[in-house]
Amino acid sequence: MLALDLQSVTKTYPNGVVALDSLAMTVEQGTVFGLLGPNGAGKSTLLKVLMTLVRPDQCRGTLLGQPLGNPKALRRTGYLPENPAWPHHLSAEGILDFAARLCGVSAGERHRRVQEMLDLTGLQAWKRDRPSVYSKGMRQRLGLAYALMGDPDLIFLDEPTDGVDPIGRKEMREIILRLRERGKTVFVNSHVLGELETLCDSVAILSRGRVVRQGTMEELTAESMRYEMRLDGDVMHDAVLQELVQQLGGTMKMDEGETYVNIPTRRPHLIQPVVVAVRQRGYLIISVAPARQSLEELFLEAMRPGRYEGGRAA
Amino acid sequence: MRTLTAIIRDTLLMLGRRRLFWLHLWLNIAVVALYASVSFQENGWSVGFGLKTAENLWLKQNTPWEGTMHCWMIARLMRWWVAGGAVFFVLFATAAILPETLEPGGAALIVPRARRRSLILAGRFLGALCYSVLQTVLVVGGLYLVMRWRLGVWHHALWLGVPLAALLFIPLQAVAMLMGVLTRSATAALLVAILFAGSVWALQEAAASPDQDTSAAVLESNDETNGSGISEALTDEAVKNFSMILPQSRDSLLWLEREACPQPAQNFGYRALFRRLRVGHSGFSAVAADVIAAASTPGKKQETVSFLPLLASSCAFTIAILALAAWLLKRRDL
Repeated sequence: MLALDLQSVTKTYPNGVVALDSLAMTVEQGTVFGLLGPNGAGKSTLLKVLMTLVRPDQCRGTLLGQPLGNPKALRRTGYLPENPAWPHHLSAEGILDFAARLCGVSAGERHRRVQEMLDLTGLQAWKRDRPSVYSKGMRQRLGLAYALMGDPDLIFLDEPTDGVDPIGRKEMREIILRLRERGKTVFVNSHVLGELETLCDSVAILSRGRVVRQGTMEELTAESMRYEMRLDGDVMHDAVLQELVQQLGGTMKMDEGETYVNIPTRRPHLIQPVVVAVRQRGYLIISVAPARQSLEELFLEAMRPGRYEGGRAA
Repeated sequence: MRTLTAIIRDTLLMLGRRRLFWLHLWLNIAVVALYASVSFQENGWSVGFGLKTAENLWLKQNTPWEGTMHCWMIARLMRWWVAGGAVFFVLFATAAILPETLEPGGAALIVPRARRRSLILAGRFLGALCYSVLQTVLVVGGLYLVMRWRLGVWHHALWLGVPLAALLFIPLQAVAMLMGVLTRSATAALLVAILFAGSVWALQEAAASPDQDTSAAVLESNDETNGSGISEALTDEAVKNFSMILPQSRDSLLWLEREACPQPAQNFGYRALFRRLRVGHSGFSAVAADVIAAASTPGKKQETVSFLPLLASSCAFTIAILALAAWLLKRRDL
């Protein structure tokens, strides 16, 4: 079941900048989805289009099974914008109460729901303060509480950990994972690649308004799956070992007194002959571990000039 | 409906937390206190709760002139404050609400939740209207109570000033909102609304001036002679017709004085009162009395004004402007 199914979304700003260019992507329900992209790739514009803040030139797709912009579907979504401008006249509690009223939460339920959100985001002690006195991290937590107020099925978070300290980031991660456990779909737009790597079930990489890569981490890094062996000392001179590694399509390199042997395979039995040969020759194995491309490597590769042409892999 | 009431409530809270709210409230209290401070004694009258007294042969307690003076004061306060200054004061406070709502970070919080942009526009507008009505009720209520205290009458018609002030306010707020959608600038919204109010007033004053009524006659006579006044007469006709489709603010003020304010007894009009007050005075007081007496010409009083056209023109104009603003807002990137 798809929470978001975009077939073609195009947006050109009046100054001629093409923010989204026939963008297509899908997000499975009950997953954490990460959207990556350099500045100006169109990430925030996409969220604004989905949240009806920006009018697309062309828009085909569904949000929670409804056409994009459908009020019924919007009712089931939550949104934390990149730089929310909190009202100056309300305290955190007042803001959440306003959000609950906008969501149509009944009077009896409203107070309970507001307190629940304050507890969830750890703002209970500061609920009577205005956001203007909050730290950046507290404001982001308030934004998360605001986004979750209507108990949405799909939550869009635009740079949720921007300016948040490590403890705050960890708390934010825990909240997102808890939401996934409850069957919610979380769409995270972030620059913090390491964070998305640990958090997301699937990611999409956006460049110049087009999705250049999309899939689960396993799918995207399948090609780069390898076994990495660290050996003590210099074994580069060993011609037999060199030949064996080359036969398996691997490489060897020396770095700071250690030799790194990389064998591109996901099957552990294929590296056993190398392990046996190394041991027979009396070299010391420091570690043998499966490895794959990091999200950062994947992202940088996707952003390499000429790597993708017109949104498709070259 | 819950969304709309939530936005109206938020607008009221937003406006209520501004310094302008308290300033307006204190000005309202000052206006009521100013009226309450005027009293009449056996030998004359006083202002400032007896701080400044003036002996007068006519204007004293239990004379018809006492009632005339009360009527004049109420009429001035209703016209210049309740339906004048206070309306602009509310506009100062409310013109910025839509531009503030449409700031990128602010719009992102409210637009997806409200689901329909027109609801935001309607909620902010109705919130501003409620705020305006609230302030008007406070000042009219104060004047109503002071009238009872000073004159011993419950002048219920005074409450008509509340809907009338609202009728004067809504077109201006609609124009401010339209400008807010177009420019997202509070200053532009306020300035254009004030400019609009001034233009409407000037147009309607021009259309209502006595020589306008004879434009048809001028057209006819000039046509017969050399035709030099034709364009002037046509312009006058155009001004008159154009002013008809705008909110009838000039007529609204006439109606307010006629229907909502108490009227002096026959033969005890304002003109006669200020002519009497002039006697025995010189300098600024005499000039002021002369000016007021001259301004109190009976000509304006004879114009007939009914409420329904005022209501219709104000509401129709407001709805049209708000519909245009909603249409533009729907098409805007936020």
